[in-house]
Amino acid sequence: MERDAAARAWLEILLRVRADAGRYFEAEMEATRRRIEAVHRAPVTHDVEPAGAPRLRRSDD
Amino acid sequence: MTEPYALSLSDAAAAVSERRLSPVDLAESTLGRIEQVEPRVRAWARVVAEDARRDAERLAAALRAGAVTGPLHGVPVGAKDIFYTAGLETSCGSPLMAGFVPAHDATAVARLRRAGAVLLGKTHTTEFASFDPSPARNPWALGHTPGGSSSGSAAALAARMCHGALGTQTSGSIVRPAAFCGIVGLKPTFGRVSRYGVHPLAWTLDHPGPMARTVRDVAVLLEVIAGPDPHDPTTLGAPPVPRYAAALDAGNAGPRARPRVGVPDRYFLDGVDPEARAAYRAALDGLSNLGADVREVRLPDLFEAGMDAHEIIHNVEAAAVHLDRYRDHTAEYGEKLRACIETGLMVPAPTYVRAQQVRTALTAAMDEMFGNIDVLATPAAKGPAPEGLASTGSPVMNKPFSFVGFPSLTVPCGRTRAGLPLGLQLAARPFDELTLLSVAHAYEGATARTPDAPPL
Repeated sequence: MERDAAARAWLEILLRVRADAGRYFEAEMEATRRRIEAVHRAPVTHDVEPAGAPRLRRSDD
Repeated sequence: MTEPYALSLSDAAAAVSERRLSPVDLAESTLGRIEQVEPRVRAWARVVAEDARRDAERLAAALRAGAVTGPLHGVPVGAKDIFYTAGLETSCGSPLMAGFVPAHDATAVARLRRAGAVLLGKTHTTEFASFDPSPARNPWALGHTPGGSSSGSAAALAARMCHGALGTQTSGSIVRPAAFCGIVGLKPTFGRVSRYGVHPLAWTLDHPGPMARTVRDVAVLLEVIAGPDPHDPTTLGAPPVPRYAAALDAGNAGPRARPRVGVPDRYFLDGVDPEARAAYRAALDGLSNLGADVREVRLPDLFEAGMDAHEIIHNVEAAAVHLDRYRDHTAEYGEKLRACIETGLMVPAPTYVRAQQVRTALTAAMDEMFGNIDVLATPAAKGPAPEGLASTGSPVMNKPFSFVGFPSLTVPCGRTRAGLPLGLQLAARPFDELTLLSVAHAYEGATARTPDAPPL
């Protein structure tokens, strides 16, 4: 896909990952595309805190 | 008379602490069993027989002096080869890690040792606990996968090559191999067992946990390895660790005389093969006969989106874990992990955050659902262990509980006509491993007091 090629170019520039990354994994890329769409269709609002916030404790405990 | 290697963990520990069995004889019996069946099962990445003998002799001497180190005094165990072991190679199923010798033990390993366990060695893992298989085989049918990623731990236990083992689960890597190999595996609540010293696959999804041949054995192991660890902040807010095994022994572990068992309205029977479906129905009948109130529950609307979010988080975090190494060693990674990493690299950052929001929302909705039930019961896998060694099977039945971090376990619930084990998966609300263990213990007691052994 054209858009994938652009994304791969960014990967190469920003993360120094080889530009051909992903070319062997078309089925997995397609599944990932579907999952990205599904996640963005899910009805969550900005009030919902993402999981993974820091777990803090007092250092003198 | 039962050979020492075939004893359950609880029976072996009792025999040692009551001086009916020497730690040396137990270790020799179990090492002898390894010599006998390991060439066929291939469960171990490395066995440290001399270290184990030395530890067993030390523990035997302590016993003669009247000292019992802990609840696992002299009991031989294995650890999946992504748990760091001080002075012992930890290669994570990857040639990239060959020769890596950690300077310290993972917290779970250190706690096993402190409880008196004898570490026999490291069990095979799929590559970095992902999906590229290890050489391990299923002891029930050597041409079938033992599952993964805790492949060697499950296979070694089923083949009676150790009495307890450590595994980890990021999607389905404790429950699935345990079900395929006919043993018990428990994925604790996220934060119940420290991840310190465990090579990460996906930080926010990784759960270390115990595997053994009986529910009580798993309870003993969980009690030993659970609890706060300053090295893993996710463990610090957890409630105190109950005395799981004592509660099971006293018969007062359950939340109520008639536990409410939820049967999900969808998802968990999709693609399940007929024999596994029949075994699941029979297991529900069994629970009902034990007095459980078995009732259908509706999974939250967000459930399916949550499963997509799980994959997004899994692959993005795996990509982040491996990126630095991956740049220079792409060809040394297996195809399945490469696919994870490369798709993870392509996910936009806002999508990852969105997936974590979906996780928050689904976790809350699942918590609400558990307000009406004590445990949720599902098949542990779509069927028995698939034939062939190229795939470790599907984690779809198990990943919902890895995603929300709720505890889950599998207990054997029969075998197929071909003799392959099937598992019943139970899940409970966060930090309620005791209810999980109690229901599983009652079910196990009513169905199979002596765990089956594979015909090796």
